[in-house]
Amino acid sequence: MTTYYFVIVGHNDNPIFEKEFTTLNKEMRKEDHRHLSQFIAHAALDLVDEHKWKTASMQLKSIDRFNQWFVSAFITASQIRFIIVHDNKNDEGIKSFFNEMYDTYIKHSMNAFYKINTPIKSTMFEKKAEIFGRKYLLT
Amino acid sequence: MIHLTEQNYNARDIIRNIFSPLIGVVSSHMADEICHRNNLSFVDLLQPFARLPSDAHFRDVSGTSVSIRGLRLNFCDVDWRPPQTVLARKMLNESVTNAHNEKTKIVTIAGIDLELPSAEPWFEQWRETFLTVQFPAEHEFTRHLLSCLLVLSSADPQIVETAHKMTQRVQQMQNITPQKLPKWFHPTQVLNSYVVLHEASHGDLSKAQQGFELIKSTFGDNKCFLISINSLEANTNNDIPDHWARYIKRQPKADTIANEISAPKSPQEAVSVISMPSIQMSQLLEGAAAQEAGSDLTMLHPLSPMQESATEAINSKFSISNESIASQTINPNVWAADFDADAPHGSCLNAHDVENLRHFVQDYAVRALIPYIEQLVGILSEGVTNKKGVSKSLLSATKRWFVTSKPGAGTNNQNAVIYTNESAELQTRKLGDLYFMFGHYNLAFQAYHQAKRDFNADSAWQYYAGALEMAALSAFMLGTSHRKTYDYMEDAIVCYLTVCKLQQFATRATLMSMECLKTARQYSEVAKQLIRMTSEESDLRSALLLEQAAYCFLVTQPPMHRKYAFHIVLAGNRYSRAGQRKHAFRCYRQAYQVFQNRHWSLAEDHIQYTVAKQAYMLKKLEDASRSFAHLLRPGSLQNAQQQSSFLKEYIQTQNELVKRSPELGLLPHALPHVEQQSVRVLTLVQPSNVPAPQVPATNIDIDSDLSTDESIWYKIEEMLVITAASNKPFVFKPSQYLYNKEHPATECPLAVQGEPIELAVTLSNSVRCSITLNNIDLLWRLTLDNEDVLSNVSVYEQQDDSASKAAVNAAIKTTCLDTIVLEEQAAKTLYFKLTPKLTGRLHILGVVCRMAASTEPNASLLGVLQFETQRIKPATAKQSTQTLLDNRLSIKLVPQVPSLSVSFSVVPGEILAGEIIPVSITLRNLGIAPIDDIYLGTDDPRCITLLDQQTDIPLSILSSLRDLSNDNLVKDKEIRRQRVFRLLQRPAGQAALNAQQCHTVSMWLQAPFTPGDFTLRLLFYYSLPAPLNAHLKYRLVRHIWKLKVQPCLQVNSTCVISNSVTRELGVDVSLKNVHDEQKAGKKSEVYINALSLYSTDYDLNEDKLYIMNNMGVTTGQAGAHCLKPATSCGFQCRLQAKPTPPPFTGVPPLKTLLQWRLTRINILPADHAQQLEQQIPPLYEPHGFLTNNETVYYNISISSEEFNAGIASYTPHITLALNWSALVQSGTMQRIANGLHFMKLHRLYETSSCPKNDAVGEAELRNRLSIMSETSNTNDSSREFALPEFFSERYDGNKNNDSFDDEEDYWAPNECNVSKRCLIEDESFMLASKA
Repeated sequence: MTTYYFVIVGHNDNPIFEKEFTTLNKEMRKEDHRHLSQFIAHAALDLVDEHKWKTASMQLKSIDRFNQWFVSAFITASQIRFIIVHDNKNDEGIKSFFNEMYDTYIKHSMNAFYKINTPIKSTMFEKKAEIFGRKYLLT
Repeated sequence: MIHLTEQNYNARDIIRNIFSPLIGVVSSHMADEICHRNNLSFVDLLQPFARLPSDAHFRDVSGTSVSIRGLRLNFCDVDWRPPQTVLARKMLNESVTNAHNEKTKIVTIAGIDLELPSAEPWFEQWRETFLTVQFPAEHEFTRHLLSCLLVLSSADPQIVETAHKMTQRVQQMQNITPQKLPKWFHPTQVLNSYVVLHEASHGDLSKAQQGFELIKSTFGDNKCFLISINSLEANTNNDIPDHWARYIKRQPKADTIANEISAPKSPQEAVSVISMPSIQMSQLLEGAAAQEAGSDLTMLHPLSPMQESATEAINSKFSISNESIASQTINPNVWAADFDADAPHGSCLNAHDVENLRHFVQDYAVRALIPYIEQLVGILSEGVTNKKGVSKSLLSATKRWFVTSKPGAGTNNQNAVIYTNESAELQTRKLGDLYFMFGHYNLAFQAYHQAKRDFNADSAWQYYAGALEMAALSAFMLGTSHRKTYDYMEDAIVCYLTVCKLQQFATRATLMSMECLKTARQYSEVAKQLIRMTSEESDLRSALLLEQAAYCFLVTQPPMHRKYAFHIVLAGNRYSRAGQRKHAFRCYRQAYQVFQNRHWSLAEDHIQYTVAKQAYMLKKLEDASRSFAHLLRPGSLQNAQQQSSFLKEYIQTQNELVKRSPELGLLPHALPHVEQQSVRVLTLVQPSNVPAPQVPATNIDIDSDLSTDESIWYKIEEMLVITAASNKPFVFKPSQYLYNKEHPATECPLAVQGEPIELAVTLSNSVRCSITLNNIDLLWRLTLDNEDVLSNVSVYEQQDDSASKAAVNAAIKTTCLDTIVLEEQAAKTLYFKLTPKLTGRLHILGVVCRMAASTEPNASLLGVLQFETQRIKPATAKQSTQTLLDNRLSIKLVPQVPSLSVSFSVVPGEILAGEIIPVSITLRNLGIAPIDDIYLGTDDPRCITLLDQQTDIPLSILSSLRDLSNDNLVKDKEIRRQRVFRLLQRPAGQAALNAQQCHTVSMWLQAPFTPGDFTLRLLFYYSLPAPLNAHLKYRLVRHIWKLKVQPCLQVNSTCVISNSVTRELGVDVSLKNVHDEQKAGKKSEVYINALSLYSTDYDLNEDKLYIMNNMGVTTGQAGAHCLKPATSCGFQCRLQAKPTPPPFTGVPPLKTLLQWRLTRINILPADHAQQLEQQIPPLYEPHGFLTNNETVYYNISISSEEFNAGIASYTPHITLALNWSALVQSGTMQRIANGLHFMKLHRLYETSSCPKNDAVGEAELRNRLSIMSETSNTNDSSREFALPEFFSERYDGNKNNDSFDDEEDYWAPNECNVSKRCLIEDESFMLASKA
């Protein structure tokens, strides 16, 4: 029973891609946690800003905690922030997931029709996130 | 009482006030009465003066004098008791509920303007109450009474007895063991002082002095004080300010409105306020409970509603149900409420009395209290030094040296040690407290530090924590706090919290720590400590502390506004769980400032939903419905079920809002959305009701796409207008009837009284459930010419005013659909028709309708969908950024004008190439005034002829009679003449069409020869009587035919020398029925009726008709000789020179000219060919299509040079006109079509086709060019000759024995036919040789 909430946050603190990964089945899934995850992820942005200059790495590891939820973050060279709110430790998986998503994001951002900081509405991107999520987070 | 609020105290003042020395007060009845005249008790009377106005001096043990700045004495009734748990909780709640601060300040962080309260009085009030209601504890002495005041009245006849009685009572209290409340600092030796109150206005001062002397002699000089007050009678005017108001606690009456609104009656209600629609929450609670039970991380969803646990407050032993709290009065004894808080205080006191009171406090402190304290310090320090190292048990001593003790290291060692009052450890602590209270922080720190070590050694953790706390505070007050002393405080809090499990003390310590750390600007530490104190135990406390923590995040460096947002949400959530709706509402609103427009959709929804719910409960219905409306915004991620419940609540809230405040009028709907760009308005277009067989003019309709051919219409209109204006100069501006996104209204549209205005608008539903709109109507405002304003808004706002309703209904009639259903996320277009009955300026404001969820049609909401005025870019200034306001919704209504209805007889949708269809145009004047002129313009004049059109000879025919190159012709005028017809021309002074008159005009329409789509535009222009209307000079009616042209007949003709001996000319004609039966799905039989020749020099030889190829000719339904599809035939006819010269000279009428030039023979006529031919105008008539064919129509964009060249040159030619009839059968429907095919022949052996195929067309063009060059080469431009004529000249010449050999030189080569001819000659040669 694990839940991961992944969000890519643009420069204006606006979410541009959101996805939830969970092992819970449909009935058990609590819709309600979704807004809490947003709150936690949003609040963690302050800590991302605090940590990003302290390390040379893009992986910011676990930066915040709220009750049983951890927040792990990743920051791209262009200051796009990847954030995962999760309820169990999985540093290695999250690290790999971030790396793969970074790759995917870079490719997507090179699309001439995509404007930076706008919501990502690509089924390919969605599918990739789904695959990496299943591969690194849920196993 | 502790006072921390409203005085702008700094951190040190606050701490000093919290730990000010506590003085007990007991007063006699008579003394009470004196005070009550001022609406105050004695304690309250002293409150404003409790702070010493000047420095006091205090001598410590060593004899050093320390000055005490701003010592404040805390007077307290000895009968005062801290309230019991439940009551305390109620007080805490109310302190928060009743504190408001509407003032806000704007803080800008990261580009976001945050509107924060300028101060948080609710927090200060709560803190004050929280500290006040605490029970004095065993391990500290700051809350113990130091001394006692016994208050007497000078009027008391037995003043000494009373004093004795009171002294006894007080001593009883002080000496009881074990100690009960109130607790005394040093019970064995309490300073009891005597205060005699003298009423200056009532008693005699000397008598008072006597009594006072008596008291003084009994109890000692230094312990007695006389205060003279009440110099004034009650109810006299008093000019001294009310010093007391801010010190008197306002206790709300049991059922004030504020109470009702802001505090829920039971926790259950509090739950219902916050919970998101039940579906989710119940799942959540069950789920969370099920899955997290027993786990270490057990934590309910932090934003979930939770019943406030009843374990709050000091001692959880008292479990009293909620009902009993409500019934319990807030005033068990001394809670200030037996005085009317609103009445003025101190009304009997004059300035002198106030000065007396102030002086008393100073006097008391200096004369009685400080000497007593000095004495006490002496005793205590002596005790401490004496007992040091002696009294300690061996065990504790060893422990002290060998064990480094840590709180929580041992198990269950909490308060293992019980100290007696005389123990050195407690004496040390007491000493510290005294020093602290009297501002000697240096010695206080030493004492606390010592005590801390002792308590630590004894593992007396509660005492230890208390000492740590005070040590930290001493260091802070001394100004020497550093890392280590902050850690003391931190340790104290942790110790209280984890080892002693004393939430109350931990909270108190946190509040102190907060002040210290804030002074040191360690805001993130403050936030950390505050957040740690949030627990499930007390929602109110958690809420307040979270809110404070949130504000701390805003002042950290750098500011953390996102953390702030999260914590303010958490605080809001706790407030709502604690029933503090106002504060919950406020917190969520503050949070929204950070979240808005950031697209954290679900978070935003949570905030908005909570705001909406809280606002609804607070009766802030406007806010509530605004938030609900926000939840229904497009692009929401909520599911359908959720959205429909939002919608339901929105409708409910909005309805309640409308009911409660009817003055708001009609409110805009949140749903559906008006696509403002889609608003279209159509004016000045007549209704099209004509009897059945007639087809009304198509006109513009509201859905017309104006993007494609509007420029064509404008051109036609321009030609019409200029023609009609008979060359009066003016600037042409096309008239506009349809206003839409592409064609905005820069000026107000015009509409005519009594004629309908059409309006269309697209509505879109952005939610995932379908909605129904009922009672749809347009909202408008009509400003009449006399500046009266009529509007139907009032009809919807107050539904009872029938008089205005009738007036409004009479002014404008609106028709539209009554109900539409918008499916989830669908868009629909609504059509309205407005008929104004008055004139003036009409503004269309929006759509009014009842909106309801389709699933619950009964809960509907009346509201308006507003139209917004769009900004448009003026076409003239493309570069400038200046914009104009669109005027399409402010329509000018003008008085009735003539109105022309145009209708047509039926024209089949599919016609044959070259077919001629008679059309009758019915013109009817619907207005009440006559129409003067009617003009008709068209874009393709070749295709139509009119019966009564003017009989001017077209230029191209005229040029065959005389040279026009010297005529002064104006290009534009000629182009207009070709395209504009005047209808119903009447003699001057007579109107073309009188009011209500009807006329029919005959017209023929010929389909073009090229198959495919054919569009023909007719534009009717009619002028309006000038004085009638200044705005509207003319009106237009549009008609457009969109027809499909089917291929029918392919005709090729060639002029040949048919008899080389007689040199007789012949014309070969070959025909083919190219009707594609399979493609068209129709059968057609073609009958070739007749062939006509138009020539200046030749006639058809009626005797010589040779049918060359009649293999394909079969019998058909309408005659013996029909050409079925895909069959062909051919014939040849001979030409002969015209026997007579023209019977006219100069320029004859057109008809005469045509009649002379035309000859005709029948070919293979159908049975009723004569009858059929009457369907089409005869060729010799001016309205026959030959005229059209012979006319060269000039392109509108032709240049003047081309035009002049065109009219100057006449190309000699003959024209063949083939008259045919066809029977078209599709299914059971049968139709007879008649048509004409025209072929122009310029040269011998040239093949002309109709319809032209590309190859032939090209060849012809080349021919023409060569002829043009030829004619210009001959230099003899005056000489006219048609080609056959020219040939006949040769022929004649030949006859005259001219050299025939020259012929080849003379004929220009005809590439097209030379090879063909060779072949024929070869063949004839072959045949000859065979023979």
